[in-house]
Amino acid sequence: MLFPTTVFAVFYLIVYLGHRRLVQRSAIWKWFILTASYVFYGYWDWRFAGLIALSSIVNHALGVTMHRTSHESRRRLWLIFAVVFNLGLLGFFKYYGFFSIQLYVLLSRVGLAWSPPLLDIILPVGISFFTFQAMSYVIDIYRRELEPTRTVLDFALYLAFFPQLVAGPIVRAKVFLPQLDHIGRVDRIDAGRGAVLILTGLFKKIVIANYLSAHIVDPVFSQPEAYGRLDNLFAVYGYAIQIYCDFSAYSDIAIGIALLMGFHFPLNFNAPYFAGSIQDFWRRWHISLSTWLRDYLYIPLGGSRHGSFLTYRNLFLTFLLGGLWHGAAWTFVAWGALHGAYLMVERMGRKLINPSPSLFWRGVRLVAVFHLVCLSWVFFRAETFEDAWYMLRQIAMDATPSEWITPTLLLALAVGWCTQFLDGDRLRKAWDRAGTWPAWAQGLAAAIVLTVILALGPKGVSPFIYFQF
Amino acid sequence: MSTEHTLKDEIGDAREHAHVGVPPQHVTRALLIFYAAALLFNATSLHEQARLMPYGPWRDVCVAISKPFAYVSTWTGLSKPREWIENKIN
Repeated sequence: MLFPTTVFAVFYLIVYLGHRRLVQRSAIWKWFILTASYVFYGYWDWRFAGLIALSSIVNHALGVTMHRTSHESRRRLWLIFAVVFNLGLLGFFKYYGFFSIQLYVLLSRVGLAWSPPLLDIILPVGISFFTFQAMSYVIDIYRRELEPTRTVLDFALYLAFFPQLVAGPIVRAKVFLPQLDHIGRVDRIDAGRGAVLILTGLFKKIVIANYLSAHIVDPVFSQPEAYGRLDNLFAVYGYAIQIYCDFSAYSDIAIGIALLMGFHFPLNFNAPYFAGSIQDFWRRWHISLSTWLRDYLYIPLGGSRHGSFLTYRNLFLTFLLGGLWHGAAWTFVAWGALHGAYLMVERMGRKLINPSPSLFWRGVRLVAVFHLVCLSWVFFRAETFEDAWYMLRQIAMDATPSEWITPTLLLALAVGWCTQFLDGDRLRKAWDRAGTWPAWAQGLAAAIVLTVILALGPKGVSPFIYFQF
Repeated sequence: MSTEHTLKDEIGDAREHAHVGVPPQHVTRALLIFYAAALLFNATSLHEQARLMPYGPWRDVCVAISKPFAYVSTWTGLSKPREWIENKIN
């Protein structure tokens, strides 16, 4: 079920009205929201709902067992079991095919003719997201930063809560569970912020991301050798804006619809292309993933505590695995490796960079960071390394005149870039103003804005890019 | 890696402390008005989409449901703004 569709609109209205009616009766409300979340998830394929139910039961049981065990080595064993279970689930559904092929290639190179059985596995939507949420839950219990939920129902609801289920933000249990306990007592809703987030998200997805995808990104990336320098270059710029508008739109809508129900989710994007360094970029891009990788991978690896060499290694490894998290392909690993390398070099040269440069140098850094990120997007978006190299070669060498660059495309790129001004709390005055209007004016204004968005966008909506991860 | 950014909705927390927001009943009213208005503004387009669906019982249901709304939308002229924007773009 995609957010910007009629089916989801009807689904959300029913769920919202049920939520309002049942929210004072905690147990029934939880069952109702859990059922709704499973319907939302099962709409793709009912078997996926069984998978998330299995993950909920096993992780809850492991959390409770770990919490009750006082013996440190046993707790550690349970933790290892939990991590192996979660990574095993993710590995089987997401990476089995990829690693089977790699193993086959490796064995055939050393003269062994054995191939692992190839299975026709469907990748469950959002598995990377809910697996990371489940892992953060058990690891936090192991670290004694969190107590397990009283019932499996609470944990299942945390894992399956529909606004953030399929593409994040990756909400931590210690952020979500306390809200679950107090949801019946929420007496004020930040409706202005919620509505503005939903509408700006719909605008970014329906108007900008869909337009860029159809009018330059998809055609050029599918056949980079057929186009010249400018088309390839603008396809890369287009993809940078498209992926931002697409993914941040999902987060905005998720945060907005949860907010209307009384839940607060953390910010996931904060004007990433305004970043003055790669480190700054990762403070602004997919914040819930970068904080997850920091807390559950980088710091356990040793972080920056054991000298320069190990810090660089930890940074690089974290981003390499972060790349692999996005998908089972070497191009994603290359994307992660590039970001790891950028951060290493940036850290090495930190003393050389003036921390408070003039406006001119801040602009230069912003442009440089944007282009480094764009370079990494080439590998992220390309189907194969060959395509990526073709694209880079065309940008460097082919001076064929452009076919795709039109004033509308430039406008879409500029508007898409400017939507970053809507991130964070830059729109708080608009939220406050919208929040003070009477209900009829709010409803009518939102309907008018939605109508304009739908009229500007193409017929039909393509899935969000991050659904594949 | 930065250790500065946090896990919480700091913006939401700050706004909660400032008692920003409206009662839940107000949100319900606004949402119902939004759905009613959005349906009427976009009913002809929804009906058109329903008619373009593959033949089958689900299409029949969607066409049957959207038809009266499309009629009201056209009759009241509420479908005009969207049509006007679409014509301008085309």
